[in-house]
Amino acid sequence: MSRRPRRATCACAVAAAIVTAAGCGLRVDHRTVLAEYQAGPAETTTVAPPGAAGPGVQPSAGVTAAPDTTAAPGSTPTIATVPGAPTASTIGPNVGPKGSASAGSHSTRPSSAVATSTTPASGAPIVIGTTGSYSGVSNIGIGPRDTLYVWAKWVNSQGGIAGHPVQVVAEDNASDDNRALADVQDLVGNHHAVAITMAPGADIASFLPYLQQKQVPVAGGFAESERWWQSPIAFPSGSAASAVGFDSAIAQGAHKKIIAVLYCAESAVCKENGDKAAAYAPKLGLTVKYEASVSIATPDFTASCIQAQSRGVEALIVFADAATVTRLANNCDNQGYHPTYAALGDDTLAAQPSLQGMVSASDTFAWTDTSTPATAAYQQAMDAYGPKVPRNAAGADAWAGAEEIRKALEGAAGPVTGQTVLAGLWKMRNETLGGLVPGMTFVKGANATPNYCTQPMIVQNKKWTAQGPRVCTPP
Amino acid sequence: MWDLRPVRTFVTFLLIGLSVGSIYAVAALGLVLTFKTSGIFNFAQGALGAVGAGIFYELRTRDGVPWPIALVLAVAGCGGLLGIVLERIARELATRSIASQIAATVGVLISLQAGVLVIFGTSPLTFPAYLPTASLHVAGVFVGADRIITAGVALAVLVTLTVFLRGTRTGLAMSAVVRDPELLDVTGIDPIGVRRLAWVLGTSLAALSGVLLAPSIGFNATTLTLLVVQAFGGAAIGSFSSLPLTYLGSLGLGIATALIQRYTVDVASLRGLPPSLPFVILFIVLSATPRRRLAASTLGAARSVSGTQITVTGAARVRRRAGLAAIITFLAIAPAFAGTRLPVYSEALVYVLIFMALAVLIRLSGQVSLSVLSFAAIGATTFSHAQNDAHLPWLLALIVAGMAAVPVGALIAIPAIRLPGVYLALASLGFGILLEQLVYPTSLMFGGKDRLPTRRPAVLGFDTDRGYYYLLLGAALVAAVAVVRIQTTRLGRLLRGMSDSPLALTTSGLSVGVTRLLVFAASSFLAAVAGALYGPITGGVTGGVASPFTALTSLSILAILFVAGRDVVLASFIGAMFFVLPTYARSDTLTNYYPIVFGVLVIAAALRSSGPRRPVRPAIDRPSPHSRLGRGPAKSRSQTRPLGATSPAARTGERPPRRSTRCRGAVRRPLAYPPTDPTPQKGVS
Repeated sequence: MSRRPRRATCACAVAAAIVTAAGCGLRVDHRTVLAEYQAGPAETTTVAPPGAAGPGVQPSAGVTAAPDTTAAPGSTPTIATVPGAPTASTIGPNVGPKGSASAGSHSTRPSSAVATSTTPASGAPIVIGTTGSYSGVSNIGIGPRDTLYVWAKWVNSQGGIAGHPVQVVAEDNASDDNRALADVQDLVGNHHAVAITMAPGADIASFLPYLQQKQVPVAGGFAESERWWQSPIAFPSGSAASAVGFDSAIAQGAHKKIIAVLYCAESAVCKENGDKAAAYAPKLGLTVKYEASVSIATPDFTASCIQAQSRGVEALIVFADAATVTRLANNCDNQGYHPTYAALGDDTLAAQPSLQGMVSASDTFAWTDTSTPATAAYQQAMDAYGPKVPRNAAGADAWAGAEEIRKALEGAAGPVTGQTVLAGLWKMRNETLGGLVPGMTFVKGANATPNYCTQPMIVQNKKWTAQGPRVCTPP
Repeated sequence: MWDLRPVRTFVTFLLIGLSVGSIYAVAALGLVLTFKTSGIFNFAQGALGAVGAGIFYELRTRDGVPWPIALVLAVAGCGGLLGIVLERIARELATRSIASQIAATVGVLISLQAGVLVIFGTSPLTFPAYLPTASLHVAGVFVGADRIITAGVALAVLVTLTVFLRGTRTGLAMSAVVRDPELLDVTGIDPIGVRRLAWVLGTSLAALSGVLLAPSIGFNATTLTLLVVQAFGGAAIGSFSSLPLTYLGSLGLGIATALIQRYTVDVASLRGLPPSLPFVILFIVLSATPRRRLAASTLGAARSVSGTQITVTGAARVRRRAGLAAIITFLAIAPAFAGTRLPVYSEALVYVLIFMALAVLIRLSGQVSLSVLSFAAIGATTFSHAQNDAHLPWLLALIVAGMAAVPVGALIAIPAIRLPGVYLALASLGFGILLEQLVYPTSLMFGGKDRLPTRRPAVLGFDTDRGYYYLLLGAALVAAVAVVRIQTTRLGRLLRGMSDSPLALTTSGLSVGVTRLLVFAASSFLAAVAGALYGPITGGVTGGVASPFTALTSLSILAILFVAGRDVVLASFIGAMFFVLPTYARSDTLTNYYPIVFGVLVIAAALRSSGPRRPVRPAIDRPSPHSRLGRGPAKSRSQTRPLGATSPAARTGERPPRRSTRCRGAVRRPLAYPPTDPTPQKGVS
């Protein structure tokens, strides 16, 4: 054989080997991997004795006010986003009556609901402002915003609040703190909003001093930080333990013991939440065997799957967007590795075959529940006015925040102002909004006391369902 | 008995790395092909992939077209139509500056990304698998048929392109058209047709990669763009020129990432390294690769970088001054009418400084940096630490914040001294992403906190909203005056000289390196001061989801600067208005379509950035056949052989020696300088 054909043969052989080998990484035999790693590499965290400082399971426990640290872990980082993109209008594209459903045709109302009549509201409208990220690739606020629109339509169909129709005004902050402040100033100063709710996107710290000055409360559940319980003008309804809630969902809901924590590399918030979850896990008797940063642009997560699999990990907590969670699960599935996943609750995840059995934690209530009048009202309102609006953890938070404001205005007489809402909020003592949230107690001039209760959720038959009662995880 | 488990572990992760590397290769090959055959680095490559995947999704999932037909239509449709459009744009860009070319492709990226969002939304759509997913059991390992096909396609693309580019007349013409279209023209080959074919091929390959990768990673334009950015590392190993090296580099990148992930898993401080590895490699490779090799890979090296050193005289100067006076007056009285939007106006003033920091680099010195916001982040976090941890007075904290970025700026200046045009842009982008992923989470910067508090100065009423606004306006004016002064000083003349011809500067006995170091230090200081001033508007700066200081946002900053104009100071003020004016519009339609229109504006601005005239200087500065780039004695034009026909250099894939050719309308002149230095040359427009 001459030199040239020999070279060609070698080149072809090498090429074939590369091509074959390139596909090999994705389907390593499960038993082979387990056998290889039977001894197991070193653990990444200290193993805590099961049950040590375990959580108290307190259904709708009477802890006080409830901040929310959901921190939008799954937000996709912005690429080449045009700064200063226009603001969104107050019209929700997904919001509108379904079919022939008429306003006011749904009589089921939560037990905590304000005593409204079905007669049309006739007073001056009560404006509730909201600001969030509704544009570009980081439009994480659209779903919650549309939920608020649904809520307003539903409330108005029930006669409004204390005879006043409700109007939700939403302004886009494009995840920009300065625009969020400008939005809130516009909402309060020009639209005369009496309360602000739900600020997914920007940080509420940017406008808390302004609201304090104007004595207009910010209420709701979709908070991103501890600032929710560091200001007397903030009235959170969600949980301060979102990240840790995944731990409890795994421990209490899925009954797994050995976990891994993966967080996105693109946002510092992902790592912050990952660290929180990993640090708290031992208190629930969980052992963290693997912790890693992953990029949402990584084309393949097989290496992470193998790492987790080899360490006997039973459950994976993932702080990343829904698409990344899905890809990770598919990659692990290809390996014959089927751990339980814990991530931010989203309907698109529930539909994935590889994510059946995954768990999540709602800061407020189970968004698929219909067992109480309060949750049934949510479902009926969504059916009637927002059939296309996603029902998920963020939407539940939005609904609970709006209901919190409604509860604060129960029985209000005369013109409704920020002070009126504040007065109603300060009256709340262990208020659960009919079971939508853990008990909230607010005291005038005092910061809200964080609650650490979350509602475990699990995917069964491609649907999210509540997994037992709320679980509280005190620090 | 030997314990073979470590070996098997190694092999397992080697295989995983090969698989990931093959995916990087698919993405990188298209990128390099476009760059190699057009001389334009296409930042929109990932977005083109998303468009191809979107077309495939529409045809197959919604219209029920069989996948092979859908694949052909998506690849041919996307490649054919978009390729022709992009070639038309690229043709106009061919004589524009490197910065203009980058801005134009960023404009394409913004438009396509927004278009995909409008059509498909941001929710992840299930992209059904169309390739066989059966597993083959090979040597104890399950092999996925789909991944084998992907890897096979990558290899097939490599082989086909290599043979095509090296062994066919058209392929050789593609390489030649980047270097010397006129020379190609005289051989009887239509340069425009060759370029068009190159763009159609490159765009088709982008679409093919999108369709191939979509079942695995979805067809979100953002994710695909991020993937391509990761693939920059593999392309850098191939010097953005060699397809085989790019392929091997991509495989190496995948393998290295997998192995590092395996063997650093228990080292907490290195947990962020595996996802950052592509950018580590990008930065290191570009910093270490011999300049000659990079410069020789594209004519871009010999092209103007800024393309904006224009002589402003008479009426134009008056117009600019009037415009500047008008916009400053507008900003001075803005608090009277801004109302609730005052924070947005304050933010805009901070961006005046950021734009100025970038403009000083691009417009004055001809350096394209894509990490300006990283320096702003350094300033913002240092300012917070100086205020809250070191308890420094406000002004001192501001100075410390600015100074903290200077050594980092000097670090970037190292590749700036060496790297021509687009490579510096890529190195700085890699550096910015690296900083974001590895250093932002540390206590040096955000330290795992999503918001760091900062305060305003409690003097002269600057702690009020209005007072702080005027403080920011004052800072912007001081910076503007400083920049104007710089332009009229010796340093300014040095910068212009460096932008116009670094070689001339060097031959005059001046140090280009020191000048570049100075300008990078000044730019980083300015950007860091801007970052420090940003936080006190709302009382803090966030490093979380809402962080304004992401490296990739620097692409948008560059794009805005191009739309804003060419004058350093005026463009900075106009660019800042892009943060204000849109807040007056409230419409869902505008929200959705604004980025599309903006992207088109960026393209248009880039196309008119240097005017339609062909720059004369590159023709003047063309290297002599006797330079080290030339491989042999000069030949007359009559001696030139048709490419691919008889030239030995062409047959071996080497580029033919460049010759001094006569530019249309220009008198043939002797070379001005010994053209041995491939440092970017500046064209006069």
